[in-house]
Amino acid sequence: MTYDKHDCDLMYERLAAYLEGDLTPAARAMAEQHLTECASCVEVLAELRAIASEAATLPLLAPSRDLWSGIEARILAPVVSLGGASTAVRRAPHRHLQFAMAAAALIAVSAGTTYLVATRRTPAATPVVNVAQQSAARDNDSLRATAPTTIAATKGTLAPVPPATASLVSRSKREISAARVYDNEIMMLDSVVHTRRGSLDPKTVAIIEQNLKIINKAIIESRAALAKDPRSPLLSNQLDNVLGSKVELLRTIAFLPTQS
Amino acid sequence: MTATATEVVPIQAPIQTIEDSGTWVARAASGDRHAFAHVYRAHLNHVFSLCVRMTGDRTRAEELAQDVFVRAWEKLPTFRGESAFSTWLHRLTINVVLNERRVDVRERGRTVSSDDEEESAPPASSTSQPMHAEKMDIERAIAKLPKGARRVFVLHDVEGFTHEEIGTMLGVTAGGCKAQLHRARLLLREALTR
Repeated sequence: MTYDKHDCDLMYERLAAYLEGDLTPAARAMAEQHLTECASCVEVLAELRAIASEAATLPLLAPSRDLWSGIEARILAPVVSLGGASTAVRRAPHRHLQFAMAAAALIAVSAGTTYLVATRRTPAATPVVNVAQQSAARDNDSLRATAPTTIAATKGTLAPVPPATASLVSRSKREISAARVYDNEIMMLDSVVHTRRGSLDPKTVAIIEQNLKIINKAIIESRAALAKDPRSPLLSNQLDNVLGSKVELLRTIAFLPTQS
Repeated sequence: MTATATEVVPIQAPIQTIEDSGTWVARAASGDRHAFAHVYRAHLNHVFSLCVRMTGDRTRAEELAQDVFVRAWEKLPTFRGESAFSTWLHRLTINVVLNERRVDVRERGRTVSSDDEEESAPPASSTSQPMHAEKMDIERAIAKLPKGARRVFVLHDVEGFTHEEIGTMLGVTAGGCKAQLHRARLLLREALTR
């Protein structure tokens, strides 16, 4: 049995409204009458319903790779900023978070420390970038991967090392600044080491403890000696050396691989 | 000590079902990243499936799924449990996908009309790879739909939203939404019966 093409065209136009139940009662009755008589339109309607039905039961899809590493890296990323780290630290007080925070932070702080130490020791003007490059060369692989950015930033922001003829007042200010930078860096690294301690090899931890005791004792003694003779360049250098040793040790610990 | 400093935290198996993930969600909301990893495992395929079907681009969908979970991590403290977490995450996923479109438009520096979008069918190579091979045809056909029709079809026929809800999400009228849905179904029928 065949039907007027006009009726099929009309039905086709009204299919959407028919499926959505939007036709008037009269138009719906007409459509249903047509459907009782037209196999072609019934087939179209059945196929459209089948598509909707199949869509509602589609299986879940899986990504081709695990996305967690990328997500984890990004939820850690906000703590890179030294100034704005507090919120993220509060929300995710996990050792890896703090480790990542310190890893980013120490890269930034190390350049400052190196600069300040250099300003206390270097008698002639020397481009800071050289000092920073030396610093970067000492760092381990993880640090090295990130260091160029820091060096590039350092290039643009730090002035050349001032000459040794600088006044005692400015030298004193620099020494105070250097001490603060050392203190800040040590405090930050201490925090990282403290949180990482549980994930490190116990034998390594024992060695670390022993070395830190020796260094801490040397720092106390150097500070006491410098307090008695504040103008002694020998004692000043001595204090720098032991502080630098502590920073180096803590930095090494911060980047030690986790115990498997 | 074999792990590197940048190694990710290993995720412990087995992974719980969505139904019993409430505890993990609560812990994740308080900042427990391990718990959030469990939440991620439980919901990843749901989020990814929606992203794939909305975009028609598997690679982009993986990026968007990451965006969704990063946003979820950031917004979890505001999740009050008025709705199921899966519903909350579902809405978030849709927002991220739709917002991506707006960002794309801004980045291109021009206003894209719905007609423009209709022309932006995804490349054939970017179609999804479903878990079940027998569903490949309809998945591929959905991916090849014009963007506007695809989004309405996915939101309505796959995800079960009403025309009014979709209209609100997409900023179109319910009538426009119905028209897009019908167009999508007709195009799919054509593609699947070819």
